[in-house]
Amino acid sequence: MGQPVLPPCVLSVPGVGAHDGGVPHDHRQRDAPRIPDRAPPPPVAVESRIVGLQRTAGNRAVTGLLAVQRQDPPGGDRPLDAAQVSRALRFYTLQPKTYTPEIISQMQGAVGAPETGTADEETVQAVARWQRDNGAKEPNLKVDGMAGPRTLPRMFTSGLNAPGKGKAFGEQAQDQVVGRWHNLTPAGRGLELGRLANEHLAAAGVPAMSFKTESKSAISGAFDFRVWQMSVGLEALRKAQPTRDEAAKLVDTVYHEARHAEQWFRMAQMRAGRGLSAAAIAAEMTIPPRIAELAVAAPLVRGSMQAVIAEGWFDSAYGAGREHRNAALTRAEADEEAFLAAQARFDKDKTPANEAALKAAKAKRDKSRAVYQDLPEENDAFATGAMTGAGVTRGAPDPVTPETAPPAGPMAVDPLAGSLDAALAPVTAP
Amino acid sequence: MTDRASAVIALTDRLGRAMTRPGATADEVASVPDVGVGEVEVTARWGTDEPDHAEIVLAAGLALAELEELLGPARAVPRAPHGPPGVVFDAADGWTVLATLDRGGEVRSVMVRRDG
Repeated sequence: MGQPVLPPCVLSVPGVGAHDGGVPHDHRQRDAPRIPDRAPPPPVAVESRIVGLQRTAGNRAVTGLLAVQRQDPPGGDRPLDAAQVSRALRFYTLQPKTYTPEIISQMQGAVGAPETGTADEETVQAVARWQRDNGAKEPNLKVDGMAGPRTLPRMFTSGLNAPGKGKAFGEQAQDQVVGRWHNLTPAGRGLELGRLANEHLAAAGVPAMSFKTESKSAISGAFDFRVWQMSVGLEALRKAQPTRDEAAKLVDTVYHEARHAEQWFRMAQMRAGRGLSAAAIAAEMTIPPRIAELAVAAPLVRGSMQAVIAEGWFDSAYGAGREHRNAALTRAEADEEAFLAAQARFDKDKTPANEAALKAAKAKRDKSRAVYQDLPEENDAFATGAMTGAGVTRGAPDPVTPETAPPAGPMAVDPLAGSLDAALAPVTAP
Repeated sequence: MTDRASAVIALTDRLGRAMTRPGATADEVASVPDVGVGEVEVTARWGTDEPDHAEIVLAAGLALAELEELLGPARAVPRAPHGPPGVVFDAADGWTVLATLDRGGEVRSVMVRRDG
């Protein structure tokens, strides 16, 4: 696809809150203020204030202080204020088909609230605590008590974001691609990463993608569900000797795109669970019919947590969120291009006017990128891709040159040439 | 409809037929002459020699309406993650034609996907 598309698969935007706020696709909620993760006031200070007030003003004033404190927002066990609790409760009650008693019970179990099957204040406060304690990874989760399409995939992990899977992918990529960088061609590095990604997808029950290196545009990675194909930008694969961070970014990109393949397959399985035929799913989602057939053979049970998570992604790409998503992708792409153009102008001519224009373009780009990263499927893929970083510990090794090559001779060990015993065998004089 | 649009459609037809021929390989499909409308890239299905899809990256943009004249109305497809906008035409004969657009709505590439 010979046009620039979004390059920033792995760029993080510090401080951008990804949240599940409001009824799904009510994007007005997206600008809701983020609850700061601040520490609760020290209990001793509160107690001494209460005791002091009791002494000087009596019990009535103490009752008043406690009432005020109950309305006090975040902190400790009750991160949400009354208005936020009420908004979160509406979020669940307005979606009874999604948030069934079974789903609410599972959520309650995951966040340590009593498993009653009914969302109440205790539940939403517990969800908020979970978001606060577990959602710090970029893109971070908004602490709002609403477990929607961003929070649920992190709360109920599976497939590529199951515990340890991302790190394992990173370790394999380290050993088999980054560590062997100079033994592989750029295309070979890409294919090897694609092979690893397909192994992980197969373990998660997701059909293999075809793989392509992209040289004609500035992409770092993309997943095209229309032909079930991952593309990875050739630029990263061509680096002479990537640093640890460059290698980690490449591996993150590949896993991120593989996660998109998993998401799209789960959506197809979810639609199959609703009784759609393979032909209907293929047409509705514009995925290859053979992929739809595999989804129909393994449908997600309607009302299961996996199906609810897939519904969130489906709504974003194909449902009520579709227009917002397409607009976000288009805007992010345009602003990225404008930023790169402004950067080029500034690099060429470092005038104050060009510097100001670059700053403005960057601010605009960062804002639209944040909106794009907040899309449910992107939020999940960014968080999943980042898990590989724990397994990528080093950049590519130094290339072997005549100067750095091990000395030839009787002690040189070439594992491809024969056994270790043979390589170490004493050399007899001719 | 321009000659170029006709040539593109004719090429998609040849690629589709070549891909759906029993036992066809991706290499065989890649040998279909590109008739000068753009560069053709054929992708094999993962782990096999079977053709999966072919993409014609057009040398110059083409109005979508010109393709619609021959292929019928196109339907917009949600954008792929990090991907450009696209449309799909009704499937026929075992393959589907998809087009990728630029932001101005011009066709930049045409894909032929084997559906079997």
